[in-house]
Amino acid sequence: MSAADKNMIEEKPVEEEIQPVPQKQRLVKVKVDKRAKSLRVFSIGSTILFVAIVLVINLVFESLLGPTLKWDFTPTATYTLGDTTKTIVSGLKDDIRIVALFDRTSWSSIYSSFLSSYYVTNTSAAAGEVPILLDDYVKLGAGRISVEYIDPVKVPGIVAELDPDGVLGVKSAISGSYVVIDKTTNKSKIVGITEMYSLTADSTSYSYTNNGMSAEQAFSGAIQFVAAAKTPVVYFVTGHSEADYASSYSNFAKILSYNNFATKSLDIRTISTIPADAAMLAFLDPQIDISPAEKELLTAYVKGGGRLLVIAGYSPVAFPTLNSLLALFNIQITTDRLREGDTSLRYGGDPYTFVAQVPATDVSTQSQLILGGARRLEPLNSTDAWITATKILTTSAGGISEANGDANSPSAEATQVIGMASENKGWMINDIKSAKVIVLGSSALISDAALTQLGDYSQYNRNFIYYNMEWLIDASKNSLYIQAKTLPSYTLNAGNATSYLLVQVLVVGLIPLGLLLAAFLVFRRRRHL
Amino acid sequence: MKRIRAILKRDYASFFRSPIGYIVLAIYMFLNGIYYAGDINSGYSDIGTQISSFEWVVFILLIPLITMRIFSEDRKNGTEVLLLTSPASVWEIVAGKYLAVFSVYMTLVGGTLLFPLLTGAFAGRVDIKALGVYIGFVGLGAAFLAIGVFASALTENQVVAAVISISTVVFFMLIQLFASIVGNLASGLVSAINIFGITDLQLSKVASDVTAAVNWPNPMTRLDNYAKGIFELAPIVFFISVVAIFLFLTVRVIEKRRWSQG
Repeated sequence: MSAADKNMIEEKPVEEEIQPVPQKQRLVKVKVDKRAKSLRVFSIGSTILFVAIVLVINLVFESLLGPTLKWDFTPTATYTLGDTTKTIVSGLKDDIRIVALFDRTSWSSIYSSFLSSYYVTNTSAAAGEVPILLDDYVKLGAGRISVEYIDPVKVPGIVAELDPDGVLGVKSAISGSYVVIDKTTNKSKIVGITEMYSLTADSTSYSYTNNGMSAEQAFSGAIQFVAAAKTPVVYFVTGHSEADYASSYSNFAKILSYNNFATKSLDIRTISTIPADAAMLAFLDPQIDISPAEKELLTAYVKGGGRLLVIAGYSPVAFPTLNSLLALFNIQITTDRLREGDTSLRYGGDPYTFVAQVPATDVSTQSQLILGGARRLEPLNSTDAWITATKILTTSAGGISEANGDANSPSAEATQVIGMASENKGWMINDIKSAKVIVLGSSALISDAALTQLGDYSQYNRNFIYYNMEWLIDASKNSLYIQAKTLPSYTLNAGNATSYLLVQVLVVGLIPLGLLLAAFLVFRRRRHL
Repeated sequence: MKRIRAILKRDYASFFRSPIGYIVLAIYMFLNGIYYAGDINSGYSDIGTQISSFEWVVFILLIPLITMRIFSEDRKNGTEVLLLTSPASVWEIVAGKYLAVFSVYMTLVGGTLLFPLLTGAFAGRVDIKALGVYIGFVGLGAAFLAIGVFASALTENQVVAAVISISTVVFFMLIQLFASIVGNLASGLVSAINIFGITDLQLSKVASDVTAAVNWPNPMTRLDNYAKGIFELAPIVFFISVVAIFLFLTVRVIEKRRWSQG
C-alpha cells in the first residue's frame, strides 16, 4: 500500500465526522471507487495474463526450438559430432542407453578432481564438457540414444542393474564414468573419464598436459562396441618375453578399444588353433624366437586369411623361425641396429632416436614421426606376383645400419627399412581373405614410455599406428578415426616483462584512479547545488 | 520514441553528473584490472573467464547501485508528478528510464573492451568464447536491470530499492542450491508415502525433475553454455521475457500509484 493510500484511509473518518459528504460528492466518490476497483481488477488480470503468455512462449520455444536453435562456435567444434559418429549413429539398429554414474550438476567438481589427481598443469585451458557433447548424441540419435545421470550413492540399485554379475566393474568405476548399454542385447561398456581427455605426461615434472577432448572417440567407439553383433578380438601373443600390452602399450590398446576391438592375451605355446574371433595377432617386442610348432600354428592361421602384427625393436635377438614365416611375405627381421646419419634429423642429438620417414602408400599418407631403438628389416627379392610387400617406414637417405648392433661396422649411408606391410593373396580360395602382415622394427614407436617422452609429437605416431591397423584389418579409410579435439591456448605470444608491467600499472592504477578523480571533481562541482 | 529518447538522455546524463557513476566504473575497472594484471604477469589472458569471474560483483553490487535511484529519486524529490503529468505515457517513461540504466550498464561493459584490445595487442587469443560471455553478460545484466528498475519503482527509499534488488539477485544465485534441496525433499516425501512400489531410480528421476522445475526460472544457469562457445536462442528469449515481465510490472506499479492518487 502506498503512502498516498494510507493517507486517504486515515483521513477519511475525520472528514466524515467534521463535515458530512453531500449527496453529489458521495455519488462521485462511489464512481471513483468503482473505477479504481475495475482498474485494480484490470491490473491484476492483465499482469497474470501477461506473465502466463510469456511463460508459455518460453516453455514452447525451449522444448520445440531450443535444441535446434543452438550453434557450436568453438574453434574445434568441440561439442559437435563429426561425420564418423554420424555414420555410426545412423547405422544403429538397437537403442542405446548411456548412464552417467553421477549427477549432471556435479560434473565441474568431478572434472576439477580429475585434473588435480593427474597434476594437470594447463587447468585454465578451456575445458571440454562431456555432458554437453552427450547432448549432441541425444539430438543426433533422434530417440535412439538416451543419456541419464544417476548417482549410485542416491540410487544404489543402479550398480546391480547395470552390472548384475559384477564383470563390467561398475562398482569400482571411478567418478565421472559412464556406462554405454545396448538396450536390446544388454551388452555394455564403461567409458572412464581418463578416456575422455587426451593427456600427455611430462616425466620430469610428473605432471600431465591436457591436449584436448577425446570423448567423441571414446563414446562412438563404445556405442559401436555395444551395438556390434560380433566383437573382434586382438590377441597379444605371450610366451616369448613380450611386453605387457596393458602396462607398456596401453595407448595402443586404447586405440584398438576405441575402434570396437576387445583386447586379450594369448599364449600360443599351449593351443592348437588360433581362436576364431581373432581379428589380429600381435607380437609386442618379443625377446625369444617362436618354436617350429608355433610357426606351424601361425602359418595355418595366416593361410586362412589371418593378420599378424610384429613389433620388434632393436635387440641382438635373432628370429630365424619367425623369419621363415615372414619369408612368406617377403620380409626378414635382421639383428642390425639403425642410426641416422643426417644430424638434422636426430632427436636431442641422439643418432639412435630420429625422425623417420613415412612414405605415401596404401597404408598411410606421407608424414614423419620420431622413433628410437630401431632394427633394420630386409625386404626379400621374391618375384611371386601374389605377394605385395611395401616399405611403410624408413630412415632418410642418410640412414646407417650397424651390423649386429656393432657401431664399428656401419653400412654406407642409404635409406634403411624400419617398417613393412605385406599382403599375400596366394591362399585366397572361396571366402578366405588375403593374409596380411605388418612388421615394425621399433618398439619405441608406440610404447607408452615413448609416447610420454614425445609429448605433442606423439600424435604422428598414433596416427601412423592407427592407419596401420586400419589397413591390417581391412577397415575402410578413415572409417573410425576421430581426432582428439584440441583445447585452445590463451598464452600471450608478444610483449615483454616491461610492457606487461606498464599495462598492469595502467589497468590497476591509472584507469581506476582517473575515474575516482573524475568522481571527486564532479562531487566538488555539484556539492553546493 | 522522441519522448523515450529525451528521458533516456536526461537519466543517462544525470548518472554521470553525480560521482556514483564514476565510482561504479572505477570499482569495476579496478577489479577487472587486478585479475588481468595477475593473468598477464604469467603471460596468459583468457578474457571470457575474466569477465565471467566478476559477474557476481556486477549483479550483486553494481546493478543495484545503477538502478536504485532511477524511480525512487524522482519520488523522493517530488519530480515524479511532473513526469507523470508530462505528455509521455507510463510505458514511455519506464522504457526511457530502463534504456538509460541499460546504457549506463553498457558503458560499464564497454570499459572492459580495453582488455581484449590489450590481449590482441600482445598476440593473445580473443575467441568466440569471450564474445559468448559478453553476449550472456549483457543478456543477464539486462534482466537484472529490469528487476532493479522494478524495485526502484516500489519505494521512494533508494536503500530499500537497492536491498530489494540485491535480495532478488542473491535469491536467483542461490536458487540452484534451493532447487536441489526441494528436489531431494520431494523425492523423500514420495519415498515416505510410497504405496505404488516406486523404485530408487524413479525416485531419483522425481528429485532431478523437481530440481529442474524449481531451477527453471534461474537466469544464472542459462549462461553456462555461452561461456563455452555455444550460442543458444532460448536464453535470449528468456532474458527478453524477464525484461518484459519486470517492465510490465513496473508500469503496473506506477499506473496503480497514479489512479490511487486520482
